[in-house]
Amino acid sequence: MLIITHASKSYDKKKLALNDVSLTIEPGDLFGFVGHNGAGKTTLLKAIAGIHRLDQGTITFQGLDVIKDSLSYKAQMAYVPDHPELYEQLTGRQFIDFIADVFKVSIPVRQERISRYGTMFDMLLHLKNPISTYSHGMKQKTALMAALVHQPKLLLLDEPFVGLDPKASFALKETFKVMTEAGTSIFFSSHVLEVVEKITNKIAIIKQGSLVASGDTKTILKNQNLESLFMELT
Amino acid sequence: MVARLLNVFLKERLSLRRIFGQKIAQSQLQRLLMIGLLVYAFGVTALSNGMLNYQLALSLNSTDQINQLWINFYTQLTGLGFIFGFFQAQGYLFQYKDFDLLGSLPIAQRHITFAKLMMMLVFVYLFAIIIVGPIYIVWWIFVMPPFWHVAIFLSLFLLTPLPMLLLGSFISYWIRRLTQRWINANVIQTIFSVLFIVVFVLFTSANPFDFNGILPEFLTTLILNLNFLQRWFYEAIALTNVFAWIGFMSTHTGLLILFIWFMSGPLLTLSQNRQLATFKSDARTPQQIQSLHWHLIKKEWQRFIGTSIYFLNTGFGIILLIVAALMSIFFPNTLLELTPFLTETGIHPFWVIFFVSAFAMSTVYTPAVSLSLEGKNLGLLKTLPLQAMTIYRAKIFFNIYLTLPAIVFATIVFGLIFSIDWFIILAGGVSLILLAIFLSIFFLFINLWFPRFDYHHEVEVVKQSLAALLAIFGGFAWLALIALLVFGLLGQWLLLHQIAIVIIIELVLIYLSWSWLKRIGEARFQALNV
Repeated sequence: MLIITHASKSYDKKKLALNDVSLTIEPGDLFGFVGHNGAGKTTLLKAIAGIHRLDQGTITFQGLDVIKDSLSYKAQMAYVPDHPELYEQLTGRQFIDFIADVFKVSIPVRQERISRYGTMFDMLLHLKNPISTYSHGMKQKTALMAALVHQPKLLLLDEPFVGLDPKASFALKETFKVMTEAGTSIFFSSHVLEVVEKITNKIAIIKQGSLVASGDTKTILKNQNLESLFMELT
Repeated sequence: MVARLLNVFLKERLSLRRIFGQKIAQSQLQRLLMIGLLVYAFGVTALSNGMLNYQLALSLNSTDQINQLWINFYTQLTGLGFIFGFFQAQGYLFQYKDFDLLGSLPIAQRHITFAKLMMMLVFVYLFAIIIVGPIYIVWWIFVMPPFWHVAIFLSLFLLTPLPMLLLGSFISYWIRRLTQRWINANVIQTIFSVLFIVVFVLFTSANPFDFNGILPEFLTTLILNLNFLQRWFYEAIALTNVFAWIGFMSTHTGLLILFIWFMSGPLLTLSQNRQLATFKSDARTPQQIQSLHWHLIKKEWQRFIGTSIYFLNTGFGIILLIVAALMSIFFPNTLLELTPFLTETGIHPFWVIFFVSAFAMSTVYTPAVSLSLEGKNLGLLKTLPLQAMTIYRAKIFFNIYLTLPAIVFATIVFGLIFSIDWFIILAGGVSLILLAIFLSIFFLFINLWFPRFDYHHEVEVVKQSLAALLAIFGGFAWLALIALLVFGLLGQWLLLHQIAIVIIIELVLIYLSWSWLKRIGEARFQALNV
């Protein structure tokens, strides 16, 4: 279980990018996170991933603190940023192998997963090419494959559907389903409200660093759609 | 894990594609040209260093002081370590681009710091091979030590640059930490860096024994005591003193461990707490529509001043020229000491001024890289209703605005010191201005033919690109041609006639190159792809 307690962060010591955010994400949750540009989505995701440090508050996953137990915490999770900065001179396969080595994924297991996700995302033929030759979508797929190769218990994604073709988008949603059924917690941000509404079981809406709604998707939406609610709250 | 990281970093930073750029790596001709140029540049540097040290070794050997070569070796290698630490740490050791990737992985920060430091050292070694490598070869030729001496040399060579690399990184860390929340942090950092380098050069070029009376006594003692590393180095390599070797190796290894142990946390925190610029330096609403040229020049200036590596590489020549001119005002006799030599060789002092200024000018090759520095913004420029010539003009004029004030100032100061006739100074000034215009166009041509948009860090464009190399050597080549003309073909002519011919040739070159640019510029611009 991921527990975020009273998370606050400011970049300039004047304006809060995150203002006392508290959230709980349980095993098997597919949690959608929406908000305007600059509302604080990426800041929270990066704080959960251990990239940003909070000014106040704590983040724990399965009892492990993101700062104090950094390595064992990170060993449980994967983070896919909105614009993945990959090692461009490596081939896709070399990059995924690097991540698999970091997470100590055995050769037969990684082979099977790379083959499975490579087929799913139409990437098998491209993995032998340098990442510098990839399009944005292909880089996104490579980052996703690298995140999935070690089957994390917590998967964090920033705008995962941007740049993906319809087939890859569908494959990703199917993967989400399989992973959450196996108990993985998935927390992702998106501006595609229809997708968030359709696939998530929990959502949170953030406005200027503060949560304005959070909880079960069905309970929060009641009889309206996410777009109407979002327009109303933000 | 460190080995795994190092393997990835090596592939990432030293692959042909990364060094040459994606497009150049794919083009057989450009790749060959680049390799040829690199071999030439490295070969010339290594050979000239070798020759210089050989001459030095000849005189040292005659007084049985050949081992003094090791002092040069040590100073240059540690200096290289400092420069790489100081300039590479930000953006590589902390606040690095791959932090979002590495920061979320279960890799201990100590391992990342260690691997990154090793990569920085690899770059020091690559340059050290051509800069200090020849010293070892020269020493070997004179001393002919036993073969196992190579092992001692290698062990000392690998660790020698480390303390100064760590010091450079440490200072860079503090400069970043202190300035990152200020308005225009990059500009402040650039100014800090220039000031620091000037002070560092002044101190390291001075004999530490001369510090007496300038520095407080305790500082003088400290500096002299710190020299024990150099003493151990000397005793280990020249006298094969085992204890000195052990002392040297253990001190350096200890420093590395201490740095990793104490600095990994702060480096991580600095990366995690990266501040976003929230200040606006100019938030006023403009009162009227400003000219496109002004906007483009302003953009060039902000890029120039805001990117330390760009500023220091393409602006240092001009800074040195201004410093030299200012120093000459206070110490004119130093400059006038050249007069007997000039009289003896028959060279008019004007040509010294001309070539010194022209040399400084040729190092300001901004148009050769500024188009490449647009990177992905080139797409934006191409979508705007702008003529390619408007963009070119801004890049050329920016270079001219940058160089001319310094050139005019230096020419007047040096001219007055040498008591050169006003008319000659005026004519010479015109010839230098025309040369500045021509070189700017020439540099732009280089960038148009050898662009590099797929870079990750500006250093790849400013220092390591084919365009930068061609600009440096091309600029020197034009100066060599003028020298050949003046001292060879026109050697017997009157000074004023020589200057007149140079001016005419410059005018013709400007006319031809500008006409050619106008003819092919638009098509060339459209052919550029990010």
